[in-house]
Amino acid sequence: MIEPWFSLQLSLCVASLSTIIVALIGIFLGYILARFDFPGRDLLDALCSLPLVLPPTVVGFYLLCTFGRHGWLGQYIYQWTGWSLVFTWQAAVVAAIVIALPFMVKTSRAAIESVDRSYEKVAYTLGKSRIETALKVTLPLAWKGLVAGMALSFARALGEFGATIMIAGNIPQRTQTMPLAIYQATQSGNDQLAFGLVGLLTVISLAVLYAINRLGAKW
Amino acid sequence: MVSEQLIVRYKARLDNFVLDIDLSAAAGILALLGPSGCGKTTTLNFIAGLLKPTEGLCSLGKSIYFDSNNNIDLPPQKRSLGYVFQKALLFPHLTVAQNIQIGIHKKPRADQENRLQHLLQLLHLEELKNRKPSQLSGGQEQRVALARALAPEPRLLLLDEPFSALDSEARAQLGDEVKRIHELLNVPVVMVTHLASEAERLASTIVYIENGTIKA
Repeated sequence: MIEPWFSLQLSLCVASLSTIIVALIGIFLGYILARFDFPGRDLLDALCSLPLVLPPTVVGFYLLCTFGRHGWLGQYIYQWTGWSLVFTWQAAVVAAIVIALPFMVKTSRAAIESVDRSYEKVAYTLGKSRIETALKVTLPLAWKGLVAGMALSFARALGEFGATIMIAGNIPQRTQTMPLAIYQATQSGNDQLAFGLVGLLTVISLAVLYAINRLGAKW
Repeated sequence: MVSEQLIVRYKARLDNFVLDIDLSAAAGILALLGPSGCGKTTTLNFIAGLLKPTEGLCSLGKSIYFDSNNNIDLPPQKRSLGYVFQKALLFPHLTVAQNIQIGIHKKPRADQENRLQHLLQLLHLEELKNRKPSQLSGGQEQRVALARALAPEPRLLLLDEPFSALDSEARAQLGDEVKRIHELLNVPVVMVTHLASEAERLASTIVYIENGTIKA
């Protein structure tokens, strides 16, 4: 059974939660890549971009290998807690995080690189530490790019299908996000429902992206 | 306040020449004069800790900022210097008051507020305190930059041609302002300029730099 409202709620929750986490990790990685020169930087950059070029199903497969009950990490989680990530809504969040992360890293790196380093030097001479300078000067000046990265990440997370179906499955009222519900509605020949879901998702995505862009334009 | 002696002795290989500077100064306004590209700004950046020379020594009073023999290299945050750059470089996302506040480290709120008011008064910025940098003229911007550099109560003020983008009237005005503040706060100043007239008008000591070395 397809539950449109449940799927919509789940999709929005998964996309929001993963966007917050992606923003934190992505801005951190973007800052490191933009401002530090260290051996292996290009490798880290390539690694961060990998989910962008791999088919999402491949990412999902890797996630299964990692978090599955017999996965290299999942087996310990299962041993300690008796809980497995696979086929839970949290798995959909993890899938969305990994898939959306490249967008955040790429855009925040570019945004941070475009901030004139002279501002940071001024802050240093004023006694501000590197972290304070990043939080009070660099990131606020990169704000527009960071918001754009968040909008992209949210959009990508909302549309996530391949990795999600691999690790979270397609369980109605548990892990069935909007894209999965649309897929199932189409597969079972319920075109009317599919139309409704598609329309709903389109309108809501548009509204959210518009709101995020307004937030970025304020600066 | 007894003024402290500034000692700067540097060797550094730059792209096209070797910088070999040896100067010491106490109190007063010291002007580094020379054509552009002679190593004046680089010298300021060495003093501020924004660049690292190949070898040398830099100290102010009893504090050693840099000593290549003893592996001492204090980060810019710990040198307590005020630096006004060629461009004002005001943080564009902050108001005039917030730009100054960012350098005030006093702990109780009231002291912080007093210090801000004092600096706003000192540089006649009260009317502008809620403006964003984009709403200021070039001269106003440099006045805010000067107030911001003074905010952490620096022991030495570094000025890198801060008047170069201004017209001659604003330039003279700001020069007088620097002299007044120097006398009022008794803070030693090292300023970089390529104009002999400016150096002669403002400085108590003038050092000529040419191709990276000091000319007598």
